[in-house]
Amino acid sequence: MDIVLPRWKKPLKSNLMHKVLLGILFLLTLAPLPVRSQIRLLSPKESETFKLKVAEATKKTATIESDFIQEKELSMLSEKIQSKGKFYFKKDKMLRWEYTDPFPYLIIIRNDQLFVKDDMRENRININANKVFREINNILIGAIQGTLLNDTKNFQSSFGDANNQFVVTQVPLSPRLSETLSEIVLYFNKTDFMVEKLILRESSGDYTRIEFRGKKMNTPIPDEKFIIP
Amino acid sequence: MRNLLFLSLIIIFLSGCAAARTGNISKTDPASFSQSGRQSPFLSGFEKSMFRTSIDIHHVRLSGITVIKKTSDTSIRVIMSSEIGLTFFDLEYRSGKFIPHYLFGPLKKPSLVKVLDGSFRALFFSQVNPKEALPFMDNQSGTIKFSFPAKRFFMTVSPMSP
Repeated sequence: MDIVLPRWKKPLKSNLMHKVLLGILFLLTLAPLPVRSQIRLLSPKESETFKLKVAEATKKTATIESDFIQEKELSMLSEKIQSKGKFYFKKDKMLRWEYTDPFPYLIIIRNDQLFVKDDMRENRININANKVFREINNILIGAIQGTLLNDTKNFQSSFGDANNQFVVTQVPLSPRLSETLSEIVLYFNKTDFMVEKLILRESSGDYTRIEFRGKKMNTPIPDEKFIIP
Repeated sequence: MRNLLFLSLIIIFLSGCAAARTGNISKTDPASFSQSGRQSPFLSGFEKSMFRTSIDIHHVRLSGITVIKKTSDTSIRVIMSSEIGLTFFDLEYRSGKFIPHYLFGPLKKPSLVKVLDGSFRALFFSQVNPKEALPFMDNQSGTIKFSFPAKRFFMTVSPMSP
């Protein structure tokens, strides 16, 4: 004789599974909390003071030369890609990213021109002719110069105080940009008020962390470093 | 990522601009290449690799780093990102089925997705059958390109030192 289980028996097993899954999900959502809880949100007055300090520091900075370490987290593959190189900035809109590892690669941004060179080819792009490049360029220059903090048209910003750094989280408001980036997190040094870490968090869940190390401010950098051949 | 195999991979899409791109390319005798040199490295014994990648789409060049990983016996994941880290695309082949998980805004074009599918399918699963792909010599770079006349693209795979 076959034993037929009452119909409610199956949902009971399913409910148990649901509870286990919900429990795991709950634990996962708790995981980032210890990091986030160490950040104290700045009051509106403190935020304004912080923005003024950044503006002052930016005004005083004509050049930046620094090493950088970049780490791209591919969440779906549990893999990290680490890149290294040299970074140069000269007021107003001159930027040179010189990747040395894992592959040599050069990016020069000068005014509205973007130059990219690898060991096989060179490519010149007019940033103004491409909306996406223009937005990404504005983010890079804006993050380095601190002007991104005042861009209330394109970003919703929140300001925090971590142990050794000020943390600014910027959420893009433009639908086109938010399709690519879910947030940009800038970490400012508490002494010189300059960006020392940058996290670009993508809508896919992947993120890129760029850390600037061994920064040298206002050392002479020849214009030749930014010449687009 | 341990035991990375560094390769330089260029996929040049030629739809609409074939004449402009073939000036420095000359036909090469297929018999001069060993069979092993034309076999897909992704078919057996492959786990994961990182590639330097560039893609030319008409006059726009995308360059960056691609990670290709075998995620199970029947699936391969391929993610390409720019040097500054932004993801261009995240694609998967699961039991032969093509699943585009993510595409950077300007790349969300059905015709381009179709070309990406065709290119990676040829790269991963094809034995580069001489009947379908013909070897050409790029006189400028000295690399060998495989032309897929039916699919209208060239593919170059050249080894790089680690």
